Amino acid sequence: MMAITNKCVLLGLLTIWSLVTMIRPVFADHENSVAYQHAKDIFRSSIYYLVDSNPEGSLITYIERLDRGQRLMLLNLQDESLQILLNDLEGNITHYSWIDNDTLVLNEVNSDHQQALTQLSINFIDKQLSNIYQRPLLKNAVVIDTLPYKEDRVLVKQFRESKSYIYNLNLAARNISGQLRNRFKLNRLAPAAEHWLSDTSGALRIGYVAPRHGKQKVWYRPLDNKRWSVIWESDKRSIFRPILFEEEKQQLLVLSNHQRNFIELLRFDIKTQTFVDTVLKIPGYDIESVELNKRRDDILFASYTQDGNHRRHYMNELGDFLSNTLKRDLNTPNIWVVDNSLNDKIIIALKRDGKNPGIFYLFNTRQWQLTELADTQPWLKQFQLGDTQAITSRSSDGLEIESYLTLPSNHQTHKAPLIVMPHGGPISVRSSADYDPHVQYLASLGYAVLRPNFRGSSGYGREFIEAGKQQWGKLIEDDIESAVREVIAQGLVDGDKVCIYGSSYGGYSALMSAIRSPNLFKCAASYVGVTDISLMYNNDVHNSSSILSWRKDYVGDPKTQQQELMRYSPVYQAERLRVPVFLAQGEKDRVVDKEHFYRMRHVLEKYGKTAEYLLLPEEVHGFSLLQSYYEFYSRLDAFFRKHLKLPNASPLLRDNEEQQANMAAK
Amino acid sequence: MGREFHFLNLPLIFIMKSPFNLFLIVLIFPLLAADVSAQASEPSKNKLKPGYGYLLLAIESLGTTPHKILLKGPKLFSNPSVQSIQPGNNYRLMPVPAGRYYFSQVHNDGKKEEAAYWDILNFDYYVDVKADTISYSGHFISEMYSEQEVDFVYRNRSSQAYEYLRGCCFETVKRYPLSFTGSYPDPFLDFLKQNDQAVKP
Repeated sequence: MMAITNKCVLLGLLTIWSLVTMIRPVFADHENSVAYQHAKDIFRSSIYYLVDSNPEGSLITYIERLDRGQRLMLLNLQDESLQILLNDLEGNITHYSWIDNDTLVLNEVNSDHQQALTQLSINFIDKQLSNIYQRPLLKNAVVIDTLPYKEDRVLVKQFRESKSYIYNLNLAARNISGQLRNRFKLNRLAPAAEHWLSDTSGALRIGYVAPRHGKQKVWYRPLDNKRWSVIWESDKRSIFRPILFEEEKQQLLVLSNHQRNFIELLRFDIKTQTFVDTVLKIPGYDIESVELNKRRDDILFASYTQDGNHRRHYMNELGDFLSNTLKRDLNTPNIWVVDNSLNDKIIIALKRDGKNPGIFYLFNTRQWQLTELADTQPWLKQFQLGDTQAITSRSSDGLEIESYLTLPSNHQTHKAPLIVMPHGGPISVRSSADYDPHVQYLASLGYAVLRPNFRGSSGYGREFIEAGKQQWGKLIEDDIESAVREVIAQGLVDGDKVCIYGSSYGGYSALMSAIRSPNLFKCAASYVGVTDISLMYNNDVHNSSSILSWRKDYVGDPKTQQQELMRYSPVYQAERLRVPVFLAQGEKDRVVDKEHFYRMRHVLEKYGKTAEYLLLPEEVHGFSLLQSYYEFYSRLDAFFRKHLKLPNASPLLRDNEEQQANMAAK
Repeated sequence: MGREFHFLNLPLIFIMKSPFNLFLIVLIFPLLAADVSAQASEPSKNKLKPGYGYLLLAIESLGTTPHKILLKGPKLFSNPSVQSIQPGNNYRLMPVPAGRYYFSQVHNDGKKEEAAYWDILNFDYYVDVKADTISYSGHFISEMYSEQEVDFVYRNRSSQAYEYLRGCCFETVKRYPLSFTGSYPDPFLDFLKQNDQAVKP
């Protein structure tokens, strides 16, 4: 009996072992593949980020990412010593602010995804760091204003039970909880605004709700009065984003496209509730954002995107002068001031472009000295990344479309296969020529990547956005095709080797483009893509009436346009697919539910179409785990190579280039 | 597959037979009223009473599993509840009077100090049950990862419901069509049915 049992156990173990040895190489091969290993290099996060200086410009802090976790570092500029302020951080520091010369407030997200504020005070004796004092301040809270004119004071917003409360905290006080009593809530008698602007004393004066999907309201409170009154109400097509409250003039600086095509920086008079002045407009471009100076009393710069590159228009002479000096000294237009000390002694600048995720520089205005602080991703130097150029095409109705073409470094010797990568959205989102690891992963493996800014994209004015209304599968995809045909016509890529891939709306667009134009695209890949437009109306978390109303307006109404929505949904048109499809989905996606994936997979299987599927169990709408990047992109590369008939993946290395140059010289 | 119980389906003769039986019913009714405590299975007698339809409840449990989920029906004694919920997907097929059924409460196991139940009536998650059909309007997804991370969402996953029903309750699906009864029309189930018929050899 015992012998039989032993034999059974042995047989069982042998079976398990043989199964393990059969299965293991499949995973091992995949994880050892060149494309997988290359993804590990390209999608690795920056080592250094959140570089900031204290108000007097004597100290610089930054976050250093470790293999596991992160740490907060301190660079003392007086003696150039480097010290660890916080080591082995359990949570993730998402933001921090210097409150005064020796106090920081850290915004951390813990392992339960809960936000918390922590005060960090540092003491120096004889210029040596002697003591670090750390205390928890608030849970579920963020800093909204560092109040540079008020010592030890900070404005914070705390979220509780779907509401937010604003407090003016005194960090020098021992008792924090006492400052959270009901009577200290600054917005206790205020309307339900989401965002606030304060005056220099820290009093809330302007409140507003985000101008998205629905009507927007802006409220104002006079200094001597507790009553709030509405000073602006706009329809959903107008943007009105308060930037700065000017106490003396009783005026408000706003970003708005009210009664104009492009977003401009305007001055709005609160008393007369009219626009009185145009502070800044960039002809032909929307102003995308505005940054205040450290004193929070004036505008430092306005940002916009020109030819795909982020540009900043500095609003004061010093900023303008510094920016020009840095551009000249570093020989690049792509350098920006990212932080400055309150006394303007220290400037921290970031050099960043399509091939470079960023190098931080320190500029001392007193010594007129420029120093390289840190390369955020130094390991990328080993690869040949692709250069990006802007391309213009004319769509089917004559509308001009701007796209960005990134060519692999070997494009002069080989006409590159093309991957078209439409962005998500599609409304009020855009692509740029800025560094994008998704693009450079493909470019460094030898693909050209084309990113069209089709109608509906942001940055090109209100009319361009409105032109994208109800154009899913129609003129938007015409725009994309016009860009593809343009780069083929210019001989920049191999027109016989074109695939299309995107996420979210980009995934939808990839599937619909392949259905519409099987002769243009050899394959299509969709990640978290919409596959059934009607499903978007029964599939939202806490669907608000304003979102539904906006969606009916910009996408279509399933109650009155069902046949049309079916005509432009990949699920109902899958029979027309003639090219292979790669369908991938995050199981925890809350924006595009996995039902989109299931429906598409069901019909593709029914029709017997060539398709590959990948469900990532822990993923959301995008990528939250590095492992998912490696898994998805290595499979995507294998899919493209198979259907574009390309040789095995091999990253383009700098050494190769040097070797080739040497060989050519010989 | 498992126990399926509905007090409205009890033979009247059982109640009338003895006063003790009536006492038993009164005693155990609150515990068992409309509780369906296992995965959906082919109803043994799948012919519905006039004015009745099948309510297809789909519940996905992520994190801590709820002890019980209550619904509020159109009539006083038509408040179904679901117990014995397992991690992952759970399906229940119940014959109920036609009308609107709201998800009203999610109960945790009551052994912990946290809230005994969450009132979710104002979430407005409901199923409109039509007579002589199997009505489905979404998957109720319970996410309870920690005390702070509790959320209940409602998602149309009719392709999953359709696949499940075809597996478990083919005879019932043949007799009563599966109908999507969410707020906005969803043509997918009709498309699927047509498609399945067209593709079948």
